[in-house]
Amino acid sequence: MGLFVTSASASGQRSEVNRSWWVSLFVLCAILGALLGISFKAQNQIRQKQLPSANYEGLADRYTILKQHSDDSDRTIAALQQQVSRLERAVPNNNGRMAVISQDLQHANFLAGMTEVTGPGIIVTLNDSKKRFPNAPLGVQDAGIIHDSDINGVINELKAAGAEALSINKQRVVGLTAARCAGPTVYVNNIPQTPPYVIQAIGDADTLSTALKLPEGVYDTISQMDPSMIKIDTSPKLLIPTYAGPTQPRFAKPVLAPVSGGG
Amino acid sequence: MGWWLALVAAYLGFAATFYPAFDVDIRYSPYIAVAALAGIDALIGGLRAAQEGKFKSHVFVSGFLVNTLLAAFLVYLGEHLGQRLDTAAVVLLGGRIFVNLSIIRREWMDRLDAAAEKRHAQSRAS
Repeated sequence: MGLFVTSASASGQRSEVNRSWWVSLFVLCAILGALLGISFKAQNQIRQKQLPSANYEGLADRYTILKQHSDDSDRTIAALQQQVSRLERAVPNNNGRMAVISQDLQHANFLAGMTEVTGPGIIVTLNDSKKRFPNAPLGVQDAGIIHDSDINGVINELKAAGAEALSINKQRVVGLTAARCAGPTVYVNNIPQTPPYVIQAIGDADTLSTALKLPEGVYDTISQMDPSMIKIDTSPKLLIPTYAGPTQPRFAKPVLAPVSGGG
Repeated sequence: MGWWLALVAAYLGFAATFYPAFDVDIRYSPYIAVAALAGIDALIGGLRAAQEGKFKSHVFVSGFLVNTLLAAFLVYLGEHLGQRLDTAAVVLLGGRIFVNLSIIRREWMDRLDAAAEKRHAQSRAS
């Protein structure tokens, strides 16, 4: 800046002009400093706030933590459910009426999918195709991939054919179970699943597999793309796990029928 | 004195915005950053002009103000045209800053050389 002085005096400017020049230089430099300050601050803010797009590590960390939390919750739910069934079993020994109620409860639990179930049935294995489909029409660019609609189609068909208990990859299918795609993963009971999707169904094996293999049915639709995507096996003894998700409704309340007489 | 005055002013401006605890709206940071770059460019351009004895204070002041605003406006325009005009501003301003700085540096080197020669001549004379 010393250079400004020499040149200003060299060009013979009066000192009054000089002074106003200093003022404007001062102001301009202050403005420049302010601009720089705001810019620095904005960049600091971006770094500190860890905006998602700029911070994959942070997101991954948070994902791991949330995953851990959810695993913990799963374990808690399983433990509590075990406790409930233990308590239920402990009560009835004392009197006959309780035994009846308890039996009812066991049955209701079984129907609701709150118990493990065993029996004969079929195993349907759905897997993504290893083939490429370069000639697939634009609408089905993801041909060769198992979607939630495929899984739901199989489940629906099995239910219609009289399957009594169902599971997808060890997730029990209960009344409120949803299988749906979110990005590249299929969630069942809000738990992410990866292919192959193994669907177990307890029921009459012949009826179940025939239902799937109806002409133009689910089996046809999937195996048309690639026969290796769907496989049906029968098994004399399947073990279908209990439902492990949350069971406390938040909104629905039961409407109880009025107790009539004798009860 | 001029150097210090300018430095003090710049620091005051910096301190007034950087240290107080307020949140900058990050949406405006691209505009402000390019404006700051234009300001630096104008300052260094002024330095060069002064060195060459062509410095005019009104050119400097108007250049500083207009260029900062224009640079910010260019970014704004680019955002609306879907073109990265801020890249154009950054490349041009950054390039000019480098060119001007190198010219200033050469001039200083020349002066140092001249001073050294002078001292040499004096010591020879005495």
